[in-house]
Amino acid sequence: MTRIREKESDFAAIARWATALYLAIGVAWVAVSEWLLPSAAMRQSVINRSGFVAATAVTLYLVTTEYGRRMKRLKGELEEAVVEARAYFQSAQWGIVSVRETGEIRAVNPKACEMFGYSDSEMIGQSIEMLIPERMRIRHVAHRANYAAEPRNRPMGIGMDLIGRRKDGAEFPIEVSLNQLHVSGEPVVSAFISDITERLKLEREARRGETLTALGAVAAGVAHELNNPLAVVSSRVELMLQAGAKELSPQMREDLEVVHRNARRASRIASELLNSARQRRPERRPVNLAELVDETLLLFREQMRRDGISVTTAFPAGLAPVLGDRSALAQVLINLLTNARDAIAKNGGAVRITGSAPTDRPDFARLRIEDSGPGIPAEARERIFDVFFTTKANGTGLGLWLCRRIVLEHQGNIEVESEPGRGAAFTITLPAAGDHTDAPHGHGEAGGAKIPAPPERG
Amino acid sequence: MIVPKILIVDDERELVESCARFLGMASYNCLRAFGRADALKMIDSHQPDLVLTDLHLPDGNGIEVIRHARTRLPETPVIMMTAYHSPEALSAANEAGVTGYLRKPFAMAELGQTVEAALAALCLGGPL
Repeated sequence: MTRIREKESDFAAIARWATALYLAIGVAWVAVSEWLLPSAAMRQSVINRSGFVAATAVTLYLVTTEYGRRMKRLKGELEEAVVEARAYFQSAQWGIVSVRETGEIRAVNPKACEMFGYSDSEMIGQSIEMLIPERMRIRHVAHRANYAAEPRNRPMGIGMDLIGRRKDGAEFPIEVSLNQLHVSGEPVVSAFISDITERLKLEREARRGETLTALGAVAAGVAHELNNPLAVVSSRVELMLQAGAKELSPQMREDLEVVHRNARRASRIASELLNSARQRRPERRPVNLAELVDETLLLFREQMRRDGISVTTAFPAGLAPVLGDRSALAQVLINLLTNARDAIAKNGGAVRITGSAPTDRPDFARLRIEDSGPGIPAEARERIFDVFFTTKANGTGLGLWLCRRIVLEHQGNIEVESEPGRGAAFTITLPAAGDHTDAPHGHGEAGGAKIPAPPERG
Repeated sequence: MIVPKILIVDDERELVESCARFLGMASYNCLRAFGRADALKMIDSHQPDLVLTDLHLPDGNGIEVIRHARTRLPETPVIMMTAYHSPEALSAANEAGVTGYLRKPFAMAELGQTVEAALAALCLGGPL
């Protein structure tokens, strides 16, 4: 910028000096001519010529000063454009790496430094391949040659997984768009780079959610088909127990009761599956987590008190409500509290429920349920959200699977931490309701037509 | 003594048989139908005092059975037995005039209680 200003003042000075010089030489020439030439006619001709010299000098001066003014204005505009371009470059959300044809990095922006963990001086002058995992460098050089042969502005590596390499060696998925331009006649390629780690993670979670939904539909189909044969089994056993009460030996009676109990249990699994796969139109309303926890605890407090389990809750004042389906979220809490209670069993212990606003995800609210039970061994922890996985003798393997499904449907996530012998903690992170502050309590008043539900049986 | 006639409609024949035998033990007179067409015919010809029907029938919808029974025999309670009902199916059953639900899988004892309650509401009472 300062260089431009210097050049501009140089130019004005030169214009002024050139005009003055031209005028001085012209006038001197006229004076010398008068002194040298005797004839009046000749002198007249010289005067005419010096008049011409003066006129051209004035014109020259006017033209050059006007030119200078225009140049000055242009330079001003250019200067602004440079400032603007630099601001874009500095504050862009893409990492921008500008590369010469040789692969040498000529400029990087702060985002690129942040992304790759290098300072700009560590990158400038180095080969672009420093930002690529070693195993891919040779291939990248070839790609670069191809691009130089036929440069177009385009996204890079369509259909390929592009990977960046940080200074510390960590690799991360990226998306790159290439633009070629010429700087001082030299071809330069600007690579606009986005770190897509977070996006891929969200996509993976969405896909997992879809898979689970599809799986749920299949499970529901299977459950539906199982229900009738199971109903036949248990009904016939009931008939035998009732009709043949007198003829049955105690052993046969006991055997039939075992058959009946297990047929009923299988039926219960099938109907729970159906229940969980039920296609409902989910509600999205602000749900106050502290209230939801209090209400749900009403179902547990009495039994937990009997089993010697203390329950404490802690919610910060002003914790944002989450946006969700109240009954579905209550189901999540019921399942988690049931597990916590079963884990602690009758030996007494503690359950702690806390709400918080995560600092790393400002638009979310977090709920944590900790129990003092025996904890979950590592191999079980990995599979704990899988359908039909259970560590309980009488479990259906559907509770946590359903929790995860519901939380994913809410665009949230659920995590488990546990060390054997030191209890377990489940953490649910759910999107906060944001501006949806209408219906602060809204339980039970679901919108739309009310459909009477059949009596729950269990 | 009036013996109430109960029509049981389900394509799962063995389940119909279980129900009929159980209700038979309680001295109800049970009629069996295994499809929609069968059920409609028997409603017309036997005029049952109570209808138990599944919603999923091989040759049509249990909703039609409910509607037919309600039209022909306005006094007769109709109980639907089903494992899974979408909110749409549930509201269709309600509109058709269903009077009760038995959620599958149900225990025979539940069947007995539901039937008795429905008939008691009708002031027919169960057989002694």
